[in-house]
Amino acid sequence: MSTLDWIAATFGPIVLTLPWTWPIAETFHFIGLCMMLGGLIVIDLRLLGWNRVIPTVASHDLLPIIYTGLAINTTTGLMFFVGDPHRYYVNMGFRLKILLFVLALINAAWYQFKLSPRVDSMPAGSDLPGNVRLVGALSLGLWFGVLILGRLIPYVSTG
Amino acid sequence: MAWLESTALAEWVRTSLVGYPFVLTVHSVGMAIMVGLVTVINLRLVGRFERLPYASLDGVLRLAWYGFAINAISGAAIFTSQAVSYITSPVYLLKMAMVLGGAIVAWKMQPILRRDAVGWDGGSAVPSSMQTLAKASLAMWLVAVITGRFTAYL
Repeated sequence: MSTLDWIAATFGPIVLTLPWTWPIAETFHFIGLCMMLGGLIVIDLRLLGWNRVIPTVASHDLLPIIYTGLAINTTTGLMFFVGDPHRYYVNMGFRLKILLFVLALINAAWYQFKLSPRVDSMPAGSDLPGNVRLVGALSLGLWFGVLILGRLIPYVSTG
Repeated sequence: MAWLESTALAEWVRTSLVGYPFVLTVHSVGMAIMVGLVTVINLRLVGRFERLPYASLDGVLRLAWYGFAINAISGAAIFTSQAVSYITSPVYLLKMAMVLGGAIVAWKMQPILRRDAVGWDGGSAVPSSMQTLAKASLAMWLVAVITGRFTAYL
């Protein structure tokens, strides 16, 4: 019995066959993505120079809603995977999504721990350095990529 | 409605290999933009994100409308593909009522944001009527997302 078989046998009955578990988890996954993307769009576009009335340090007030959305979506995402692991494991949409997800987390960590301390001391309205703008652009591209690939999982097949 | 389902657009969304996944994906992107940004605005108006200037919210809302436009178009395309069953689905009709209500509230808020936001940043209180609009908007978009997802199941 492979690991995937064991996961499917253990969690499949709960997530996949218990009535309404799957649609409810999906709905939470949608709510979580709105929470994440709403905050991220404001922070990332500000890094790119939009809406300069926002001091970059003030945009960090949006981090709690982003992290809450991330927690909701990691939880519900794990539920989907353990409920039906054979379908996800071989799915190219899923694999690419996870790749972009990991890259997006690394990009976010790079901004939060390395760049943000320097950016926060800059006066509101100022032009931000090129590497900071790059992080903002990468963040938007990667997170929307995660969203798009996630939505396509049911429609793409195995690689 | 039957005529709508027979149009070339409806045919493409319903039967082509890429049509349905494409418009659904575009619809999820538009949702993230509209609902995500409107949520930021509403939570700011009820007192969250304390350092985020009220004066930035008009710009956020202007961007949110792009998400709304994306979803009006992609939503119309999805609707044509199965117009008869959507128009008779209570869940779908509830969703559309929430979307319409949410859009009207956002449209009402915009001139107020444009006129008064700088004053709120200067220390005057956000009026309770504006906070009520924000709470109504939060509730309507939440129900819109939930019923939108359940349209596929009920």
